[in-house]
Amino acid sequence: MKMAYDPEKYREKREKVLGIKKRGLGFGAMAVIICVVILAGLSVVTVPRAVSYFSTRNLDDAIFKLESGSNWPENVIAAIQKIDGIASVTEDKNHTRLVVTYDRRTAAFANMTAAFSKRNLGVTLLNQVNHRQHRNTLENKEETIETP
Amino acid sequence: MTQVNHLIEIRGLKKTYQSGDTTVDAIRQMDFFIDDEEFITIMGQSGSGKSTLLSIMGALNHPSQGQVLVDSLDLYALSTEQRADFRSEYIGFIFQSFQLIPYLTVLENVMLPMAVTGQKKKIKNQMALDVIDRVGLAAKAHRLPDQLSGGEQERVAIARAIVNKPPIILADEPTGNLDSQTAGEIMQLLQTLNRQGHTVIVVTHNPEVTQYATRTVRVQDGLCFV
Repeated sequence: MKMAYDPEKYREKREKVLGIKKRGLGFGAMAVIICVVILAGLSVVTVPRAVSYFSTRNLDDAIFKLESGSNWPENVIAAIQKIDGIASVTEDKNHTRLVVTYDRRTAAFANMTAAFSKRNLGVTLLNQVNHRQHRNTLENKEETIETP
Repeated sequence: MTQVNHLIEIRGLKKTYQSGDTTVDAIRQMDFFIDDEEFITIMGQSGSGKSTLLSIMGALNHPSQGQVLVDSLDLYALSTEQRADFRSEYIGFIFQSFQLIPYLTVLENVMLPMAVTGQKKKIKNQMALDVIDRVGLAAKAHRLPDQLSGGEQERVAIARAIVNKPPIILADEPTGNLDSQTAGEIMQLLQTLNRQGHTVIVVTHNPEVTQYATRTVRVQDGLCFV
């Protein structure tokens, strides 16, 4: 018996053949997803390092000690923090050493020493080192201590 | 998309084979249509072009000229991949020589067309067992083809053809290798499949086969007479 042709009857099959209805993920889509996952993984590792490098590449650490061996006065620390080009000021756990991180492209170091002189503080510069190098040295030291 | 009024439309079809300096016109000019859920026999003598016509309708053989539209899809305007998808979605093939893989069981042979469907093995297994049951071979699902009679092997070929639920079944001389009683049983099975909604197209040179069809297209010297 003749049946009238109904174009809707095989619509799903027709769409599969024409590629309108996708059957799962194609090779291209799968390849893109894998690439995105790999790039995301790589960027998780590399981006923070790159950001860290670019944000610290011009920083140096200057480590000072008072000739008297006493603790650093709070007002001196506060005054140094206000100097243009100073990134951070930290004391060691005994409050005897002052680690000042500053931008070497500015006059921060000269301004710092001037501030010490202005207050008639006898200050010894113990070390002046690249900030990242200093940080790596401290991290390696911590690892060595933690490792039995 | 081309506007069509029938499930299959053959328009201005020509097919020429080149053999050295000789040109053979397998199909000189054919225009006809087949509606959904019809049972068509394409009848003609050997060399009349009927098998060429079947292979062209099955998206297996490029025509030299003309169009074959199935469900509004212009088969030979599709890409190679789309044509492969078309065969997988729309067509179940039954061959005269069964073309079963001798070292695979009935079940494994029937599951073959589902290899590219992306379905889970358990579902494929169940679908194959269902169609094996439909062709009456449930008890022999785990036998090898050479442990079956010719009629049973033809049933396996039919099961394999319908396992993906294709709307169209193309059969090339399906009873050519069978005795008349078994041939009758196979044609009745194809008739049942037609009543269940498949469009069945059978190529044959045997006039007895036409009694099962709703319509016969006669092919002679590369021309068709509907």
